[in-house]
Amino acid sequence: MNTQAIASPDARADTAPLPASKPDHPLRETLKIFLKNKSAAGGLILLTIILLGTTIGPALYGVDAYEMVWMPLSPPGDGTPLGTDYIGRDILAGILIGGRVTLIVGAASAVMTIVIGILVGAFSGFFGGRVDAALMKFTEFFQVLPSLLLAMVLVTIFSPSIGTIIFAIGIVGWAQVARLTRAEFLRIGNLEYVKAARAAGARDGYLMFRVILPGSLPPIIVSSALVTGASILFEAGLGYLGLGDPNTLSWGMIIGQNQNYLLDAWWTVTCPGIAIFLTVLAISLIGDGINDALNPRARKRA
Amino acid sequence: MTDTAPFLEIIDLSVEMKTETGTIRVLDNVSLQIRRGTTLGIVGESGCGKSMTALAMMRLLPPGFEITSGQIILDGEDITRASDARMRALRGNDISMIFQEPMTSLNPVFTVGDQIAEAVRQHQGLDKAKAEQRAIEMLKSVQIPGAEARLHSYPHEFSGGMRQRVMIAMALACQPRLIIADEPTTALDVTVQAQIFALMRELQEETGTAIMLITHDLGAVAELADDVAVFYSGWRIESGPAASILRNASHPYTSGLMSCTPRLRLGKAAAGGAADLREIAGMVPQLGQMPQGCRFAPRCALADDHCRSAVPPDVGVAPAHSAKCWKTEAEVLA
Repeated sequence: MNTQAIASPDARADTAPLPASKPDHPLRETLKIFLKNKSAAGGLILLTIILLGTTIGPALYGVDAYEMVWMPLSPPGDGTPLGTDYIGRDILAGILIGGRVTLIVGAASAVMTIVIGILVGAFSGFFGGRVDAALMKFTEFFQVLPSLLLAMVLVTIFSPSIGTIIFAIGIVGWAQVARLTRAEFLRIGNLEYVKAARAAGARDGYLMFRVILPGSLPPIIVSSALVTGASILFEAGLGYLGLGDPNTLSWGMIIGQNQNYLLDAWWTVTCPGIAIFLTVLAISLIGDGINDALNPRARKRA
Repeated sequence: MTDTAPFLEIIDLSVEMKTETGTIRVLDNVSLQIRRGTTLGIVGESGCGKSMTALAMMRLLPPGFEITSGQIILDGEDITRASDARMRALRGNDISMIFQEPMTSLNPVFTVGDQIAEAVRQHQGLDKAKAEQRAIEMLKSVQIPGAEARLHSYPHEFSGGMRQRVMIAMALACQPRLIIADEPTTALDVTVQAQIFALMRELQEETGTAIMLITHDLGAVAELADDVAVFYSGWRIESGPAASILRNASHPYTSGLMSCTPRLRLGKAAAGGAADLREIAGMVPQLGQMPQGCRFAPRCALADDHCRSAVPPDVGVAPAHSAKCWKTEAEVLA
């Protein structure tokens, strides 16, 4: 009698009581945790303001950033809100319009960095052996190159345009993303569920991008935020060195062009500098927030 | 519904591992048969080649391992010669596998419904709605309460036993001809184990699928298996009908295994003194340092010089029951 009760396929014994409400999708839960985090939410608001400023800002402000509108090097408040630069262009207008290039280049080169990094890391970690050895040698090669120098050379060889700058920044930064992705692929590739998927007849591509990649995304997403911040700084650096696209203003370029007047007209350099600082800060805060939201150990359970 | 013709037949399968110092044979001329709709239990210690046999059948041997000789014939088709594309089509659709660790065998980032539906879509080309329907049917068939609601749950919301049910549902979703269950209940509580066995037996009766049950638990074999193959150090040392082997183990290793299995004795039986739980003295030989004759000889109480110098043949001891041992006939006759 006793044995019968045990052997009967009665499922009650190991059924966990159903949760009262349907649990949230993990992404929504992550978003909730993210938004509860004050500094992350602050970063998101700051970034939204910056994005709005650079997209609709120029039209609202209505001053042409490329025209001489006032006396050169006039201080903030004296006719223009943030002063003028060495040839009398409005600094605020320059910041509003220059943010476009900075943000587009920063975001596009970050996307490029992450895509290359994920692809190289995924193939390396998934196939192992010779593929891994070859790809990691290739990655090391890019890791030991002085990245700013390489980017400068690339931009100088191919005339500076937005496309070449994106390419140059993207090509120098992917190595660490590749290493991170590879490490995650090595870790997850050995888990049972990957073996189970393989035993269920999954193809390599499916295993890599639908089975392993989703599990390895959290650290990659966090590092993408850092990479985006770094790319924006990189773009500013190139612009400062005069290697930006000469046909469009960018924050780095405004700083570079006005650096000779730093002691006489601090606002020409400081204002675009603050813009860069706030943008990178906002992105870092968001990245930190994502990290906290995705990392279950950092979550505090109520 | 049982058919006497073997529907899976492994003939003289050898698997070798290449190392820096040479090749090591991890499976040595192993032969097995599984009849349609029946369960074959494969028993042996860790490292004896049970799981290697399963992986060889899926053609998923780890890097460095290779099938060097033999055939694996599934319904007339030699799997060892099948193309990679053909293997992918077979895996999951005709042969599926249930793993030991239900806690880690499910992908944590997708719902269980998605995971079951994906297998069906891939192999049987069903559209999304039909695949989801099939996933609900499968969850119901493995007796998960509230299947429609649980479809959208993530693996972490299930208990171990429930996850193993989900794994079984996934394995059965494409109505495979053979399921390889690699220690499916080792990680589960005993009461849950019994439920899983009952479920597997029930589903086998319904679907007529054959099961290869890999285990080190003779209790599981007694519970589920129609036939048994005992492995030791890359050899299949005894095989035959489960009843015949459990009642009349012919190889000294098999009988040794049986006396290692604790039995629950109550009342008068317990009063008869402490259970004589014996161990098999010695250790499994290291791969690559195999004894010359019988691989079990160093640990065998019956071994003599002949055992230590010559590889024993497969000796028939009962109908369909054979043991790879020099001493078998003498034992049986005695």
